Amino acid sequence: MLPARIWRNTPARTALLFTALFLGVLLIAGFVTFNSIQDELSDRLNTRVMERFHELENEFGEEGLPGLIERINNLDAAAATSGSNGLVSLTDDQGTVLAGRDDIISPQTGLHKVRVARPIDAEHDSYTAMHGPVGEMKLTVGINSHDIDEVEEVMLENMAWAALAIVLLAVAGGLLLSLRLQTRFDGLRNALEKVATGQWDTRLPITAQKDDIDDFSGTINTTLDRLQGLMEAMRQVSADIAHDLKTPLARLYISIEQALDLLEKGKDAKPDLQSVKEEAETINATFEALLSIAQLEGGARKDRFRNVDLHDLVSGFVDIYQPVAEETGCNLRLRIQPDFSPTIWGDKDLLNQLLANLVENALRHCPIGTDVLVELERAGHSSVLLSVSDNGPGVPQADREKVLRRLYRLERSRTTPGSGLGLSLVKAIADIHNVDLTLTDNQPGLRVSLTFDSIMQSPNK
Amino acid sequence: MRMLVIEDDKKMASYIEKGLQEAGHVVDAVENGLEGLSFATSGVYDMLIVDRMLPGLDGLSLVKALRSSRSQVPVIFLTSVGGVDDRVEGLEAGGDDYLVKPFAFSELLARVNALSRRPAIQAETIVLKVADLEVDLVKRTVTRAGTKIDLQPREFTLLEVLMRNEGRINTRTMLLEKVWDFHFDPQTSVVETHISRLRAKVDRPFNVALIHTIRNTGYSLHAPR
Repeated sequence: MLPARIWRNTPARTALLFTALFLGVLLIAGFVTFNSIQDELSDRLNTRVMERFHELENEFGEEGLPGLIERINNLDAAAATSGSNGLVSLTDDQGTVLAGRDDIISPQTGLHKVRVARPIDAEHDSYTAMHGPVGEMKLTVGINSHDIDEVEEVMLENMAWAALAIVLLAVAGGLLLSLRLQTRFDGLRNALEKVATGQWDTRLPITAQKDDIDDFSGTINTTLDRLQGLMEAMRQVSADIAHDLKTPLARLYISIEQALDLLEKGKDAKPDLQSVKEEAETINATFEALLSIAQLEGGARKDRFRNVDLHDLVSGFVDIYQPVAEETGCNLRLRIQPDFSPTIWGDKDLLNQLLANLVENALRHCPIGTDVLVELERAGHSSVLLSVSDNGPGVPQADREKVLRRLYRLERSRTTPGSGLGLSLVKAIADIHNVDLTLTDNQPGLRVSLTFDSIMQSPNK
Repeated sequence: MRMLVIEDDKKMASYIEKGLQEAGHVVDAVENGLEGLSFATSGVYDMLIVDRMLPGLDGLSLVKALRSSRSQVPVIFLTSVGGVDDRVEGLEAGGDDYLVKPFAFSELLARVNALSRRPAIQAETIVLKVADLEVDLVKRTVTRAGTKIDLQPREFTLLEVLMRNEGRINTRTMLLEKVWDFHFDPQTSVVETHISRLRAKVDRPFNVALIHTIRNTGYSLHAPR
């Protein structure tokens, strides 16, 4: 990792910020603690000094001067031999030392810090001492304050070490964390850069941790799926247009040429112009169908979806088409339980169009006398099966998947009417309704089954 | 009628203008949406024909603005996008009808006529009557020359639509929309089949035909002229 990039790295910046924050808190807390401990320690020292002073004062009151001097000499001797931290001295009003230490440097009356001229060692030269009158004399009682200084020193030292440890830990942890995150971010960025260059099938890596970054990557992946679908739909449409609109355009061109030719010769061009009109209508119909499919596949808005009673829809539809079937010499029948009225969430217009495409397909491709059956039945716990079947020539097994594709037609010559878009429109409509569409052999004939996922109410209601 | 055509494609605009003039209407045509709106708000027009894609101000916004100024003038949208959503969008914006390009002029004319003669107040008629044919909308019975005719519910609706538009042309597409609520173009002869069934019951047993085929356009029900 480059140093310059550290500052743009969120985890590293966060780690540094927190280190600074910790240090600040530690300093404030340390200062407060240090002060209160220091106060407490010097208070105790003062109390002890005063206690000793009063003790000696009492000694003087009880035993008089000789008793006091003897006591002081004993104490001083003990201090000198055992390295004790006490200090005691008695002077007369002239400043002549009567007993105890004679090296106290200019003591002042009251409780003060004093120094001695000949300390036991360099560090033990400072004392907290009480200097006051005892009878005609002056008494100085002190205790070396070196212990307090030492405690303070140790405390400061420990705090410095703790601060250093925190800084090191925080910086190291922050760097480690940022390195790890950086690696993951690099992975995400690489994947997205690949997508940006047109590798639409690239997906963001998802780790086993299933953490928030993985959630986020998952969402982006869903978006990418959608984008890829849209891209493919778009590519497919342009390919289809190139493929299937060029041919009728060429035929249109020929008809116009022929009409012009006839007009030039002063002949009747009406039949040719009529066929021009028909070609134009075919092109328009193909175009409309392609656009509809593209709209549906691109995820047409579902805000026109309502509750649809499939019983009403299907029986109404069969009512309309029964006479049409009879006219073409076929027989359209409906099979449905009278009390079965499943409600689904869908678009009535689109479902009508789906049924129309399926039934018209059957009527168009089947010989006279064919039976076409529309069935609506319960399928399992909460699904509905809608099927359109015929006993006509059927679709060979190998072609069943292909007929759902755009512009695919079984006869290569393309002489019978039809754009080859009927079934792909059916598929697109089925897809936006989340309906499972299957083509099976009706023995003989074709059976198209639509399984509506569940008898559901509006997801919002 | 005085009509305003707001359409930026010159060829399309002059095609509509010429056709409507031939049908006896007075036509003004403008190419820009903003200009169109200021013409439309003048209040002198009996009907507007508005393209959805316009420079200046799009057709939807134009009609919304017009409706918010409380103009009730009938509007027919022209569009090259024919999706269900687009149609509903147009009607929700305040359009009265919707026609997808390319269209036959007879289709436009039939829709213009249907809109222009729409009664101002939709009075609830109980009995529709043309020549000796009577339709009782409440009892849902049909009689001709005193003879009762039995019709399927859908046939009844078809007859009712034809009767309500007596003398006017109903195109195939208009019938599909009004009678069967189909907003797509079936590849089979749905309309023709049902008309011929209706004729078999309403016309054939009697001497005089009331349902007339208008070639390449649609159907019209009227007394013999």
